Amino acid sequence: MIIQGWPLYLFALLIAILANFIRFKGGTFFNKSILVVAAFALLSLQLLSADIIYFRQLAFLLIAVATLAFRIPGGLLSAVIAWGVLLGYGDREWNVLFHYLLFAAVIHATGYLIRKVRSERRQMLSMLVDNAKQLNVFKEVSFAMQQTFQMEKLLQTILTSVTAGHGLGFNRAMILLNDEEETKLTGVMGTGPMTAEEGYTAWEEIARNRYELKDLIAIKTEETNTDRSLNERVKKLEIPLDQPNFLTKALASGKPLHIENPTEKGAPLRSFAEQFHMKELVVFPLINQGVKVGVLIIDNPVNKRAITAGEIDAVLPLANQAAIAIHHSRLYNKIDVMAHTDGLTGLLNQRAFQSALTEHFPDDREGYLSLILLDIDFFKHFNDTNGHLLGNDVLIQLAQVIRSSIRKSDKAFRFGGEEFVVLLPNTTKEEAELIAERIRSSVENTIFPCGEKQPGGCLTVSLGVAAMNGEPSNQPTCLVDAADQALYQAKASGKNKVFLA
Amino acid sequence: MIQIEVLITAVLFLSVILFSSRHFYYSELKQFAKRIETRHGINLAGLNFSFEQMVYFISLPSNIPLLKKAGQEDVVIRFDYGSLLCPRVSGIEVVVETGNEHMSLAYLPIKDFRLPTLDKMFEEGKIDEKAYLKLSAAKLMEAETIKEIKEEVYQQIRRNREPSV
Repeated sequence: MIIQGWPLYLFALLIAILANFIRFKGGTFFNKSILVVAAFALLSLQLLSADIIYFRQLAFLLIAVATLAFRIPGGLLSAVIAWGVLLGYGDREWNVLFHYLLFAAVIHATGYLIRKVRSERRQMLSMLVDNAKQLNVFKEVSFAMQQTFQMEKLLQTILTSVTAGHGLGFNRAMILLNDEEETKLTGVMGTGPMTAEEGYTAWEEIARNRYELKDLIAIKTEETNTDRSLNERVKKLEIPLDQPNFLTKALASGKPLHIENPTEKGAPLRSFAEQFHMKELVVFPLINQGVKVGVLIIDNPVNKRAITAGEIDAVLPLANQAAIAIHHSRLYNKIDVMAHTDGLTGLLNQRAFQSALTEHFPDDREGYLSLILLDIDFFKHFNDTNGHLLGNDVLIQLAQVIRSSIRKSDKAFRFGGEEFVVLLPNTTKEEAELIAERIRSSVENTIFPCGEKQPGGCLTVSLGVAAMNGEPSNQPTCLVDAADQALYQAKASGKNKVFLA
Repeated sequence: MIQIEVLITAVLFLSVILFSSRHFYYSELKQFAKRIETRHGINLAGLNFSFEQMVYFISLPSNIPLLKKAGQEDVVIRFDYGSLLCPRVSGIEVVVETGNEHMSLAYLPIKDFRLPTLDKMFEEGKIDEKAYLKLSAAKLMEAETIKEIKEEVYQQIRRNREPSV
């Protein structure tokens, strides 16, 4: 029976469809094997019809498929088998084997070139994807960092960028900051789960709401209670830097420290890793202009994916940016504190008072703000008698007395010279009077250096008290004026007194 | 001299193998997904996913004229198959095509297309990495997913764009 023409085409069509139907049901080896078997089945049809010419020529198809599927071994084996079958049918032409092998070599070379080009393209695409992703993350994070000098928000931005899938995609990250003297690292904030279950819940939430990196940064910086179980542990961390450990090693080298199987290492690392159930971690030193700001620690406790060198490289620019931002934020906060603090007494200064007065001034009739203005009695006499240096000591001590006489919610300021002011938010005039009296009495009962040389035998203060609600006609400056008037009356009526406006 | 019938047979065989392979690959993915759905009581179509691993090659919002004039119908999704002979989806490329102009806008590698439910099943040992990739590929190739990706990319192109002067 000779099968040629349309029956042959139909058979080729059916066998190709059948092969495609079956081959994707298994793995790659199975897939390729089915292809070769299909080609061989097509070839075998020519054996049934004993058509050696067709067989000899269709064998090229088998060799092509086998070479593409299994490369050199496939090409060699299929060429030899096809030639062996021909030998069995009495076709003893040696040059056929040579042609088969030559054809297999050409197919292999062509396949190799195509694979090489595809592989290079894939590699380029992979690098492009990685770099584009890094740039995108860096752009969004830089923008978010520029929006704030607040340390808390800054740290949350950094941690979110490292952990969000839109960011660098690690499961968990935490930041430990160095103290001013660089003697110990203290845990300040972490983002991520303590357990895989927690991680999947958060991940499901992100996927459901289709959050992007900027959404996550906004959410995390707004929420104050995120990842509580992790943060409870992180905030208890205090790691001294006087003994060598994995953190000092990272800080000293200035390079990321990749640690696998931490529980098999030294004691400090083992205990740290056990506390956070870590199997693998990377420590990134945060260093800016030689200042060791802190460390960023990352790990993957949820998907347990191994951390690659490429992923570590991707974090580096972000870690450097984070170090700069944290350092600048610290400097900013320091300057901010200096700008609002009185250098002598340590109390808030006049500038801070103006802001606080506006901030706490009530905006409705229900709200109350009270103010105590106080002034040292006969302070000129004190300075003339004892000198200005001792006068300064008295101001420092008086500031301490005021601080210890007011409530937590009250704020004390040095108003200028020997005048002090206490702002009492949500406080009525009657309550403020009690506090003013407490201050007056404390001052009277405190022994100040050379206080006995004052008229009356001790150092005293006079106090004026004023209070206002949020009536539209009331203004913050009116409150100060009213307290000042009351203070004037206290002075005029014999000093060491509290007067209400 | 090669017989014309042999040539036609070989070309026919290879053409059918090559041109129908993607169809059969997708059919197998769907059948595989169905088996997993039945075994583990999940509904692939209803699984949450996010676009968070989609990587944009262009900084958005962009003022590139091609992107500015692009409509949602100009956003085209192209599947990236690893090999011609044994196709497997290795990612999707998002291209903007308007007339003769086209621009590659974003890429989503299949290994990064993660779904929380599948992550959990993988962690619990219910599926292996190969099964994960097959399921995520099946999800990615669904018409509804493609539609959502197109909408998302179009939204990204339009978002925060400065008005034309």
